[in-house]
Parts: sequence; C-alpha cells; structure tokens
Amino acid sequence: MPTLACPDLGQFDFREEDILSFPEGVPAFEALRRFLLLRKEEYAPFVFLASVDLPVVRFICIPVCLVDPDYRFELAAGEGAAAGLADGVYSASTGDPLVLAIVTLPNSASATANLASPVVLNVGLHAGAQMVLPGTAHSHVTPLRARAAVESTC
Amino acid sequence: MLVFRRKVGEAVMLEDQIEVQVLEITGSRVKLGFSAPPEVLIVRKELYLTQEENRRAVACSASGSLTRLANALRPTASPDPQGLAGTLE
Repeated sequence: MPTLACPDLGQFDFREEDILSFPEGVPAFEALRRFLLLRKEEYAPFVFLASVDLPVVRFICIPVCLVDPDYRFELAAGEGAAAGLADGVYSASTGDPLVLAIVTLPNSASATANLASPVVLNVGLHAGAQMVLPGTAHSHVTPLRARAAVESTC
Repeated sequence: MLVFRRKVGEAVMLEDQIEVQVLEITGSRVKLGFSAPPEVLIVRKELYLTQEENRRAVACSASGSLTRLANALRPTASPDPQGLAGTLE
C-alpha cells in the first residue's frame, strides 16, 4: 500500500482509489493533478488536501457549509467539467459535491477562508477542481469567525 | 482610476507594446482582446487573486501551521480577536 509522508501530519497509507484527480491542478499549482483528502481527529473540522506528488503542497481546508450554511454557487459554460459536474446551481450543504474552502492561517488569530474560489470534490468520481467563480460576492479572504465552526458537521 | 469610453473596435495602449481592444459588447458582457509580448502575464483578476491566495495558503501551511491550527482550535487559546478559538469545543 503506498504511503504519503506529509510534513508535520505524519504518514498516511492510502489506496489508489483514494486519490482525487484534479485534471487542471489548482491555480498556481497547475502541474499537480493528484491529491489526497486527509483527516486527523485533533484538527477536525479542518481537513487537509495534500498533493500526492509534492506533499509540501498541502492546503488546510474547511467545509464551506461550516462557514456559511447557505452558501450556493453556480457553474456555467462547462466550468465544472474538470470535476465532472454539470452546469447548475450547487449548495455547499449537500455533501456531494463536497465543497471546501482553502484556509490561510498566517497566525492563530487571523484565519481566512477563500469562499470566492471553492474546491469542489466529486465524491463518486474521485475528481476535484477549484472553481474560480466570476463575479462572486464572496471574498478570497473571508475572516473565519466564531460562526465559522460552531457546528462540526453540516 | 483612469476612465475611457470606447466603442467596439477601438482600443487603448498600455505603454508601447500592450494593446487592449474592445471586440464585442453583448448585454452586460464585454469581450476584450489583448495583444502583448509573451512575457506579459494576462489573467482574469479572480484567477490572479486565487493563484496569489493559494500560494499564500501553501506558504502559511508549510511553516508551523499545524501549531497555529492547534492553537486556534484550543478553547483556552490566548487573545483571539477573530473569535476562532473556543468555537470548536
């Protein structure tokens, strides 16, 4: 069984079918096409999206529904094709696709989440993509406030 | 901010080598064409912001982030103006 050694997080055994395919990579890391979604009890509800091929590229993520239970976004003109998602309106609270926000954590008192470009994971297809939503009212640097994580599930 | 009014087919120049032309206007959408040397990076602003934020997220993630995450998750963490601590009990 292959193992991913993730800096600070430790070793993770994984199966080939656990690998999430990102056909377009993610912006600024377009060459990285294979990611694993890693969870550790002590960091819940945060999860980690780690590159299989370059494990130092590891995003801290939070389910968007914990930040904004009413979060919705629209995919048009085939924007969701990389993740195998048809055009339409999606809610962050359905669980499939799993909608994550990448968290930036310069210090423990000022975490932000990127709600303008959610990462969507098509659970059934093991495929994902970061959606760069045009004209969204959401911010790339949404403060992660108290409301952000009151619930540990959505 | 500098503002020009332009019609379809008209253009503006940015310095000597970068031309931005209005190609088409459909309702509220404008199609722009850019002519520039290959070394000039041209991307939609929302993509640019996402790239920058992803680089920042990875940089933060690489340098002691898990300690900060643990601190943020600890209910008794020190001063916490954003209100992140104590919400995950």
